[in-house]
Amino acid sequence: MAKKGSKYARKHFVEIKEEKNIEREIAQKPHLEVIYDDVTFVETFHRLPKEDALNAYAMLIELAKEKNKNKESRSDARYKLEKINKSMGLYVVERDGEHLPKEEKLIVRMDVYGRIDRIEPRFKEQKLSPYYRELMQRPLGKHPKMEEYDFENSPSWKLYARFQGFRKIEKELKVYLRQHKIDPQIVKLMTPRDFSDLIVQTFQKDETERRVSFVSNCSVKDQFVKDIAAMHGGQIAEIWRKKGYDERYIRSQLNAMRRFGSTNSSKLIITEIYFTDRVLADLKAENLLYEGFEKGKKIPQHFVDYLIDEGMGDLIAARDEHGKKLLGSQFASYEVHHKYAVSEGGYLTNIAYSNYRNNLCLVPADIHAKILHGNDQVSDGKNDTHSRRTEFIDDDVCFMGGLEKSDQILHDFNKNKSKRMKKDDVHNVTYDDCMRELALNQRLYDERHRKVRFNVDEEVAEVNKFYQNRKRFAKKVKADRRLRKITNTASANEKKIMRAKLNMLMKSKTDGKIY
Amino acid sequence: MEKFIKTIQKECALKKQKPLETAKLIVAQKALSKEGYPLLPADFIDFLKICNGVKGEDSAVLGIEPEDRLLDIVSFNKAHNASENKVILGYDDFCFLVFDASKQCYLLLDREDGEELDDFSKDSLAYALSAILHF
Repeated sequence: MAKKGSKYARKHFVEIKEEKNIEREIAQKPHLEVIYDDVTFVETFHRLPKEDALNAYAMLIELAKEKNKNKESRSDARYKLEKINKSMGLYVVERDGEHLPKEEKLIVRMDVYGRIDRIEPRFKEQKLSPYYRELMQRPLGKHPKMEEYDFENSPSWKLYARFQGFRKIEKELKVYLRQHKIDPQIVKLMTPRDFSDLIVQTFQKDETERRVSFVSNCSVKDQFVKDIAAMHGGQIAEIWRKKGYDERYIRSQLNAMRRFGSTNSSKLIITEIYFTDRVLADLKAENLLYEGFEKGKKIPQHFVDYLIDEGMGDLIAARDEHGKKLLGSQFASYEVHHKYAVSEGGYLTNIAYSNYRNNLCLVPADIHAKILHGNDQVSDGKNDTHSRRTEFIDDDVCFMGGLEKSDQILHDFNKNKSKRMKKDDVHNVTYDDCMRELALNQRLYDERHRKVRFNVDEEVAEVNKFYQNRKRFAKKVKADRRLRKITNTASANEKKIMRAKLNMLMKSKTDGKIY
Repeated sequence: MEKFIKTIQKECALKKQKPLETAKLIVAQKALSKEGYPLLPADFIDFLKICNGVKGEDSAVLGIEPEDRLLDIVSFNKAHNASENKVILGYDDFCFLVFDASKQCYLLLDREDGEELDDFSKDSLAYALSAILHF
């Protein structure tokens, strides 16, 4: 033992003091245990209550960032994150990808939520094309025929038509245009944003509705939640029971998921499973007490559904021992997560695949925000094509109930998707091809109707850009090449026009004429 | 805006939420400013006074020390915001809703690559909130 007052004794004293400080710190902030523990940090992470574990994870992400100049702590944090992620069946993937154009991302977003944002009236001039605005305000004298609205050859609609949800509403859009006697050539000139406005005009309940739903039944996201509840309701209930959730919450949440595709617990009405004195009294007061309703008996599910639909769910609301209503907000909310980033959808052979069920997963809101989207950053710089994203090791995870691997449910959706893939692949197109076609359509329209003449140099630059793009595209993955073959055959007539136009341009460049 | 708030109240059972205290607002503004983020726009503060943090389906509008701690605007920005001109006000699975002080407008930014997907003028908060909350 070190002598009193010796340098060893002083060192020992400092060490003990440091240890006590750490212990005190950990007692106040339990998540720090994961940071200080270099050996059993994975076990520590899983032993902590969920909130503390998530705080520890968030702190590790902060320490792992480039801005942390302490190399040692940075690499230490990265190592710990890797191990912890692995223990949860996750890994971080870094990609330098070709990101999707903004219009495509918006279409994917519209498809998954089944809703479209109305464009603010003051921004219409800026966001909508002059062709669309002009032709919508200049109806024809008579109703055109339905078949005159050639959506199949509309470059922008082709981008929408890749998704089943949009293909289903094509008829409604045609009917709207016909009813308003809109010139059929509009569909060839409309931009993707114009189509979103047309969908809003067609499906809006009134002109003040800001977000318009265009799905007749339910959105892709809601359908996914319904499917998961129907296919794995029992397993989900088991996971929640293990976590000690109230049985009444479990039943009510699963019911909301099955019926409405809703996972937002903050608006959930938690109902009693069995008739209680309070429930019977409340029902009696509303003249809803029927024969067979007795204390201790199970409340019939159809009666529960009826009361909720009629806005009278409070009559059977679950209460605690003090008579206070159980609130959904006391329990975890779940959110639908895209397992692979939509913005990186460029690597998919068909962008419609991004909203397939095998790319979706139901996760608790806190895990969604702090772990799965933990690396998301807003910055002032230019768009960053380099992304760091947390993904599942197992592609088949469709439900994540907590931080343990045992909280995950797997489902192989790939088995049944080939039929749908075939249908979607028929409609597959590339964004660049469609936009080039649109530009050509608009130019031809300008020449015919607006008597506009173009500067040859600009045109040639455009042509060069076209060839550069072709060159770039030639380098793309094999699957893309195959798909382009399909799309190229679709517009033979347009290609003919374009070839003629290009020849004319090249000729006019040589003699410097402006035609 | 009134219509929008009514919709939110109907959709999210917000009546039970405690109103935002002025003292908390000042503390939050100071904390945001200390981290280098712009101050919250006036319209958004007025909204927070009625609805201090909203949880939607797969989406949320952040609040100041709301009951759901996940929606705290200061800690959320600390975790996800490396910008000096923007402050995050809400999110969904695809986007962040931010207020851009340099452009004086609300923006929907792609969560992965930060691309601007849509923009809303400073006095169109209801449009911006509708876009992120999906109703």
